[in-house]
Amino acid sequence: MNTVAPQAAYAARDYKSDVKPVWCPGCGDYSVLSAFTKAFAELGLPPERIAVISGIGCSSRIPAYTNTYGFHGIHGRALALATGLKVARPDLSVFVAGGDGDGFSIGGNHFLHACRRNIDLTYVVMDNRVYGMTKGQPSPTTEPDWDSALSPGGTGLRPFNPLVIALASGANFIARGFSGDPNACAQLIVEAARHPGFSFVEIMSPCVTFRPDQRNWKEMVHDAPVTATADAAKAARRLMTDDGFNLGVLYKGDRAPYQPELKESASIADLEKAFQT
Amino acid sequence: MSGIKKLLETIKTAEDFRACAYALEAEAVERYTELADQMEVHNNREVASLFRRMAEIEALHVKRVKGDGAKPAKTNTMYRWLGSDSVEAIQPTDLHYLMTPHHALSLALKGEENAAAMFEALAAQATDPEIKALANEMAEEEREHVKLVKAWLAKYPEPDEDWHDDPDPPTITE
Repeated sequence: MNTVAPQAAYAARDYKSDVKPVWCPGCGDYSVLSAFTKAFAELGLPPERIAVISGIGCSSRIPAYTNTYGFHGIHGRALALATGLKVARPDLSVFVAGGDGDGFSIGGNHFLHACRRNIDLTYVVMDNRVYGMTKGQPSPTTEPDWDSALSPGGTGLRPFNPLVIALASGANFIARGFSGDPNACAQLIVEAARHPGFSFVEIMSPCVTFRPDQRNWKEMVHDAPVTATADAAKAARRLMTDDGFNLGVLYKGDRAPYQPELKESASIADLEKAFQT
Repeated sequence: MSGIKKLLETIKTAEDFRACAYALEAEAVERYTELADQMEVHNNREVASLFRRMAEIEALHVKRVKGDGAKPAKTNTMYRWLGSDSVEAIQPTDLHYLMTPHHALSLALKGEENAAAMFEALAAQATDPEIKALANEMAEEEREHVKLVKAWLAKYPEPDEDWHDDPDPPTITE
C-alpha cells in the first residue's frame, strides 16, 4: 500500500483526533488505536492520504478517533466500502478496522470476497470473541463452551478460523497480533500496509467487560516460532495446527493486487447537465 | 530478568541507551495519559487525576533523558521490549472502571519496580562503562520513583473486597 512516498516526519499524536474514546477502561481496542497511529507515523503518510473505514461495533468506532479521512459505515459492509474507495482512489492508503462480529458474521461474505479480490487494503480485525456493544452475545469466533447469561452452557458451535479462511480465500498477507503489545501490533500494521494486495491482521483485543477471562491472554500469547512463509500449502498446515496464540506474520503471498483501470464514465459537462435537468 | 541480553544486543553505544531510556519514559507518559483519559471519560476523576500526575512525573523523566538537547536521534516509536509491552507501562487490561487510587498506585508501583529492575539488570550486564554508568543512574532514578509511589500508596489503604460491586453493571441483560 505504499502508494504515497513518506514526506514529513509525523508523530503518532498527529493522527489522533480530539474525540476521546468511550470504550470500557481496560479494553484492548485502546492499544490497537495506539498501534494504528504509531503505524501511520512509521509509514510517514500525511493524514489526508489515509482513509480508515469501519462497520459497526465497539472497535468500529476507530475512524472517529483518528485524524484521517474516515467512514463509520454500516454493519458488516466496511470491506465493501473500502473496496469501492480504493478502486476509485488508488492514491489513498485505505485501512479497514472492525471486530469479529462485524467482519466474520454479517460481513463474512465480504471478507471472503475481499480476500479473493486481493485489492490493496489493510484489514485489521480486533477479535475479542464476543459482541461487546450489544451486551455479550457469542460471535463467530467464540469458543463453543463459553458459558454466559446469553449462551448458557456455551453455543457448542465450532468457531470460525479467520486466518485459515483468509488464506483459503486468497488474502496476500496474514498476521496475528495481541493488543497487549501495541508496538508489535504497529509493526504488523506497517508490514501489512507495505505488502501489496489484501492484508489481513487479526489482533487479539480483550473485552474485559464481557470476557474478563481474556485478561489471561497476556500469559498465553507467544511469538510464532517460525518466520512467515510465501508457500500457501505450508501456511495452511501451520494455520490449521495453530494454537491460536502464535503472534507475528504468518503468511506473505506474492499474488499481484487487483486494481481495475479507472475509466471516465461521463464527462464533467455530462454530469453538470444531469444535475440541471 | 529474561530478555535483558536481547535488549542489550540493541544497545551498543551511549546514544543507543539514551534512545532506549527515552522510549521507555515516553511510552510511560503516553500510557498514563491514555489511562487518565479512559478514567475521565468514565467519570472516575480521582484515579484520572492520579494517572495525569504520574504522566507529569514521567514527563520530567523524559526531559531528563533528553537533557539540554533534542530527543535522541535514534528514537524508535515502536521499541520492542522484553518480548512484550514496556516494563514501566501499566497493561491496559489491568484497569477497571471502578478501580480506586489504591489499585492505580499498586499498578504504578509495579511499573516503577519493573523499570528499576530492568535498568539494574542492564547495568549489571553491560560491559561498556558509559552504558553501565547511565544504566545505574536510571536505576537510581527509578528507585526514587518507587519510594515516591510507595509513600503515596501508604495514604490509600486497600479497599474492601466489594469495591467492584456495581448496582447497575454494564453486563446486565435487559
